[in-house]
Amino acid sequence: MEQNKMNETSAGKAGVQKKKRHPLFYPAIILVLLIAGFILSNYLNEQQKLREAQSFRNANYAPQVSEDNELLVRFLADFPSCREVLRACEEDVTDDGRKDLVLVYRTQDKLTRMIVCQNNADGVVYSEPIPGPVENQQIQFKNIDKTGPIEFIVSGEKKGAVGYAIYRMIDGEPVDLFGEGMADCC
Amino acid sequence: MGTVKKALAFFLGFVVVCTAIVFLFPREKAFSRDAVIRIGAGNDISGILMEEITEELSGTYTLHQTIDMSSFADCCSNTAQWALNAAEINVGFFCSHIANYTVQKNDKVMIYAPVVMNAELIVYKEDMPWEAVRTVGVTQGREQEKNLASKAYPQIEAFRDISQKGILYALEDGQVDADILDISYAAGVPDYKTRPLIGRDYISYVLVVDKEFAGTEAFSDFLKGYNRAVRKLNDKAVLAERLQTTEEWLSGKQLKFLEID
Repeated sequence: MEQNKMNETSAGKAGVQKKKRHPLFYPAIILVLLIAGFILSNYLNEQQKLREAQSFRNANYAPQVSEDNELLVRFLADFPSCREVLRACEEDVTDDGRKDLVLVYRTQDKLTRMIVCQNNADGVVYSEPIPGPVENQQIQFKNIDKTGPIEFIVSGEKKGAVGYAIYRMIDGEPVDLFGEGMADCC
Repeated sequence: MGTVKKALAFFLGFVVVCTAIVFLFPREKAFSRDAVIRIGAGNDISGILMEEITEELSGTYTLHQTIDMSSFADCCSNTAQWALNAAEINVGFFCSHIANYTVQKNDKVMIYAPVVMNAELIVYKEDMPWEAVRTVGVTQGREQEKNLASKAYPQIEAFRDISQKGILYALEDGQVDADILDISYAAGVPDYKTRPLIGRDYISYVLVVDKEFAGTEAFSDFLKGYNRAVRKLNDKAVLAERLQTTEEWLSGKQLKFLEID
């Protein structure tokens, strides 16, 4: 019995000895954590700066309209070819005092299209559907020249390729005033 | 603990404390008032905008202008591309076509915002009926202008790429029927007739910025100076003076300088 106890005690001591850390173990762990935190913090700061620096592209995206939005309901009824609405935001883009709807949607043929539902005095008129960004679609409204109809910026991605275009409604159709990379993301 | 271990422990402790100070303590913004804003622009309307910004910012910042006629005569020149790629400038005004090309080739820069609208005019001789215009001279690299003009005026049969220095000579010499000219050049030949490039707004120049620089307070200050300059230049009287022309000549021209929010 005594022999067994002695064996257990010595085994316990050996266990304690094994668990004993090097005096520099904890400072080293703290150091590693701090450096990792520092690197991560710098990385996140840089990313934040870049995001903030994206200017007109990333700021103030327009909110998605609700599912019972009158123009959206009307569009879905008029366009059975629409399989899925990806983005729908409202603003008066024709400068007539009525809210219009800018839509990016996927067709039954899996094509991505952008269309403007114009809420005119004599009814709803649709622009000709044009190719839209395939992923991460965003819409922003911005009056870049402070006069006339407000412009809208449609941006998005396709397999990592980012693009955007600034449109203005002219004669019932969205006209591309300027864009970058849209051919790669539509 | 041996002396070596004590020294190591002290060193590690010192590093830990220093790192903690850097990491945990509040820091000042990584910005110096002496940060140099290096603007680049061509010798055209964007150059006039750059000069105005320079004036607005002078006294606060040191500005290294790259508006040298021989080296940066046009944003479509190789020198202009090199200036941005080699970080000789950190903000530059580029025409839409070259701006897109630049950001595709250089991932350190980005298009920040459109800055000038409708900066080009079609210029032709007084004795040339517009209906007879078939061949149009255009500065090398200005692809957008060609596309817009051909859409607006189907009568145009051919475009001829000409250097900025030779483009007016080509018109005068009859090598082309008309020229697509920057408004600052068109203002220099007031006797010639002008037409808008297209009957709607389009973006002529955009601001291309070094991504790192775009995150600095110096860039925020640049934007404030830019917006002040834009408000000034949108005044026809001021613009007429800068272009050394008359308000009458400017009337009907659709040139717009765009503020950046």
